[in-house]
Formats: sequence, structure tokens, C-alpha cells
Amino acid sequence: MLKKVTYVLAMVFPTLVCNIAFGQHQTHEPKLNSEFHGLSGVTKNVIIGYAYSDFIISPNSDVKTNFTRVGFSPTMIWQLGDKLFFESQVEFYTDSGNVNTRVEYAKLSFIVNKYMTIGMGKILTPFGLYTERIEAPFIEKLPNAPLFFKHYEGSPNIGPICPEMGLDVRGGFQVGDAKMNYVLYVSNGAKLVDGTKEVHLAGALNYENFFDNNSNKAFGGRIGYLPLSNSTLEIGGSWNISKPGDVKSVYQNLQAKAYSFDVTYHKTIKPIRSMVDFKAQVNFLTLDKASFMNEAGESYAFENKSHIYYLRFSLRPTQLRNKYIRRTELIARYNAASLAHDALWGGEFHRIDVGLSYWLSLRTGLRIAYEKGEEGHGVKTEAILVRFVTGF
Amino acid sequence: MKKIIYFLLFLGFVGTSIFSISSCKTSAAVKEKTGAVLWSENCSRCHYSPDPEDYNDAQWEVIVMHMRVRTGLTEEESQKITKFLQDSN
Ligand code: HEC
Repeated sequence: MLKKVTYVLAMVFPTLVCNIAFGQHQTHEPKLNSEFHGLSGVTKNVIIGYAYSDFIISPNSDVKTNFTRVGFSPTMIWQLGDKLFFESQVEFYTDSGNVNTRVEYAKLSFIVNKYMTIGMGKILTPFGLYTERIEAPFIEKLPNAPLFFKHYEGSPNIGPICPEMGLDVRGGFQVGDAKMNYVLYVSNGAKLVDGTKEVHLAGALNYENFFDNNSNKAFGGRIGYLPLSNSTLEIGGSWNISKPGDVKSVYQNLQAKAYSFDVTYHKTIKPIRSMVDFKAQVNFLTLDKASFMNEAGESYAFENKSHIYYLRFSLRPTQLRNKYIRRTELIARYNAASLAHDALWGGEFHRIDVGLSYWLSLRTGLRIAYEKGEEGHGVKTEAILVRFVTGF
Repeated sequence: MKKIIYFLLFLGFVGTSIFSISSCKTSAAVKEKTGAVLWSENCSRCHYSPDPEDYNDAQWEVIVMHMRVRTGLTEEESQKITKFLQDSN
């Protein structure tokens, strides 16, 4: 009975959604030369993107100064008619002497109506704000990413922090004088590192799962709310539920739940003649308890709960007369991570970053930052980073 | 299968909520905001907004559509902003 009711509801709701979706076009006269309204017309395209180059001074390492990385990412967007567009970003970078290429995202989107756009492909997962809206180097005001908010080979992912293969539905709308935006998505989801190859990472998740390891799909979304009519404040909540274990393995029924909250506030404050910008995000991840093998072949289990967060504050005296001061932005960020304590990759991490960005244009900045922190089991870190970046 | 049903139900729930919430009244001051105001309020939330002269009309149309979808701007906002950028380059 319950099953039948569910089926009926499952039929009714999408119909309702489609009604809302297509309802507004019912009065349009169908065009003779196009099957779908809005899908014909001149194809327009644009290439935007960014380029950057990094230099690091690390007093505690053997190599104290290093030009480490240079990268550029052309972003290509094609728009066909007023409803369909394709966006793709290719990333080229050299790191540790190797040249790497990868497709950061590639997504075909269809604007169904004013409230809803559907897209499919390799998507930037809208979990919190960082990955989708801040990570691009010409936007991130510091020379590097907050601790654990960017995917690196061999480090655990606390929530989806990298692009994923999937489908998303998204939109934005007015709620009185406030605004809301939403994204819902289904994707391949995380992959569990079971420790057979990388023993020290057993129990960690990797969201770079481009060819799924099981038939379970991850479901997630983000709801953003802008309560003030001048759009200065946005608060968001995100979730992502997945089963990350390999199909037919003992881990196949384990469930991973990730949640995130984010805040952003941005305003020009006249009395201090400056623009202030505050951003913060926290990610929580819980994976069902399971046993793994350590290097000695002994089995161990642990409470697999982790969280990471960062707070970033920046100030730029945009309204002062002196143009050199006007172009200078001061930035401070606190990063912290508490990773599953009994995991081989677990521990407490924290780092403070203070930096300065000198803006040569609206999208070109010379950035310098000092970072000091402590990793995992008491290892101290310290570095000075320099990045020269431009958006085009 | 069960998950797909939940997903559809959820989609339906969101669709219905959007429909009911979006019928809330928006004040005239917000409705009458110009493209220039909306541009300065919205386009520098994440990054410094490029100058209107940086791109031509067709490019602005594509860029604002990209930004609308990426960041959840409303249709009205993005239409007004596109027009403002095209009129000022
Ligand atoms: C919520 C955050 C957000 C808002 C609001 C936003 N943008 Fe963006 N914008 C981005 C991100 C993220 C990118 C980088 C896209 C990428 O590289 O994938 C970007 C890229 C751009 C670029 C390309 C520049 C480059 O150097 O790559 C332009 C131009 C741009 N935005 C214009 C606008 C305009 C105009 C508006 C207002 C309608 C706007 N943006 C609002 C986040 C935002």
C-alpha cells in the first residue's frame, strides 16, 4: 500500500514540477523553424579564464625557495538560443616538474524556466561555497586554499570538495525582498579508500570518483538564503548522502553523510572608507563504523567522524584617495580540521594565514601571505607564499 | 529505486515550495532597482566585477547567463544587469 502511495506521489509531484516549469510557455506561438522555443538562434561564445604563477619560501624545508607552480585555465562557454549553454574549463598546470591537464568541469545546461536550470556532465559540486564560488585563483584572495578544502592526491576529502560526474537542478528566486537559491544534484558520489593499496588512508573518502565503483548514487544539494534586499549577506546549508564502498565488498552498505554551513558578508562601510568581506564554511562528515587492516595486518575499527572549517576576513580601503592604498587588500584566515582521531590519517590540524593582495586591476593581483600552523601529530609548518594571478 | 523515488519526491517538494514562496510580495523599491544598482550589488559579491567595457554585447549575454546559473541570480536581475552592461560598454 505504502509503496503504491509512494509511486502515485512520485508521479504527481514531477508532473506538478513540469507544470510549473513549462506552464509559462503555453501562450507562446510555436515557431515554424524550431521544435523547442529558445533553442535556435545565433550561437554565441566566449573564452574567459585565469592564469597564475606561484613562489614559495619555506624556512623549515631543505629547499628554502621554490618557483613551484604555474597554471592557466581557459573557460569556454557556448550559448545556443536563450535556453541552452555549454561550459567547460580545462586546467593546465605544472607541479613538481610535471605538466598536468584536466577537465575541471564540462556541463551542458538547459534553462527550463525562470526558476529552474538542469545541467549534466562534470559539475563543480555545490557543497558549501568554496568549490563552486571561491576556489578560482583570481577569486581566492590568498595564494592557497583553506586547509583540506582543496583536493590533493593522498589527502582525505571531508565532504565533496572536487568536481563530480552528475546532474544538477538549480535556480534562484525572490522571496519578498529577500532571495533564495537552490541546487539539487545526483552524482557518482564518494569512493571509500579501503586501505588495500593506501594503508594509511583506510577509511578516508575520495570524491574524485569519475567512473563509479557502485550503483549507488549520491544525493545532495544546497539552499542559499539572502535575507537582506541589497544581497550583502548569504547563508547556506548543504548536504550530501552517499554509499562509498566498492560494489560487492564488505563495505558496500556503509553510508557517508556530509553537511556544510556557509556564510558570506560583503559591504562597503563608509565610516572606515573600506570594503569588508567575510566568508566562512564548516564541513562535517560521518561514515558508518567499519574495520580496516593496518600495516601489520591487524584489524582495527574507529569512529569515522571529521570536520573542517575556515573563517576569512578581508578589508580593502576602496574609498581612500591614495591609489596605492586603495589597491591594497588585507586578508586574514583561520583554518582548522579535526579528522577522525583513531584513523591513521586522523588528528588535529590548524593554520593561520595572513596576507596582502595588491590589485593591479579588478582581476589582476599580486599576493603574498605568511602561514603558520600545526599538522596532525604536532608537526609545525611555516611558509611564505607569493602568487601572481590574473583573470581574463 | 527507492532513492530515485525520494529524489523525485524531493524535487516535487522543492518545486511546490518555490511556487508558493515566490508568490510572496516584493516591495516596489526592490522591484524597481535598476540594472546599474543590481550590477553593483551582485556582481562584486564573489569577485571584483569586470568593467562593462571589458566585453562586447554578445559576450556579456553569455557571461551573465553563466553567472546567473552558477550563482543563483534571478531571471529579472540577470536581464537588467545584461542590459546595463550592454548599454555601458
Ligand atoms: C556567487 C559568486 C559570484 C557572483 C555573485 C558573480 N560571479 Fe562572476 N564568477 C564567479 C566564479 C566562481 C567565476 C569563475 C568561473 C570559473 O572559473 O569557473 C566567475 C567568473 C566571472 C567572469 C570571468 C572572468 C574571469 O576572469 O574568468 C566574469 C566576466 C564574471 N564572473 C562576471 C560576473 C558578473 C557580470 C556578475 C554579476 C551578474 C557576476 N560575475 C557575479 C562567481 C560569481
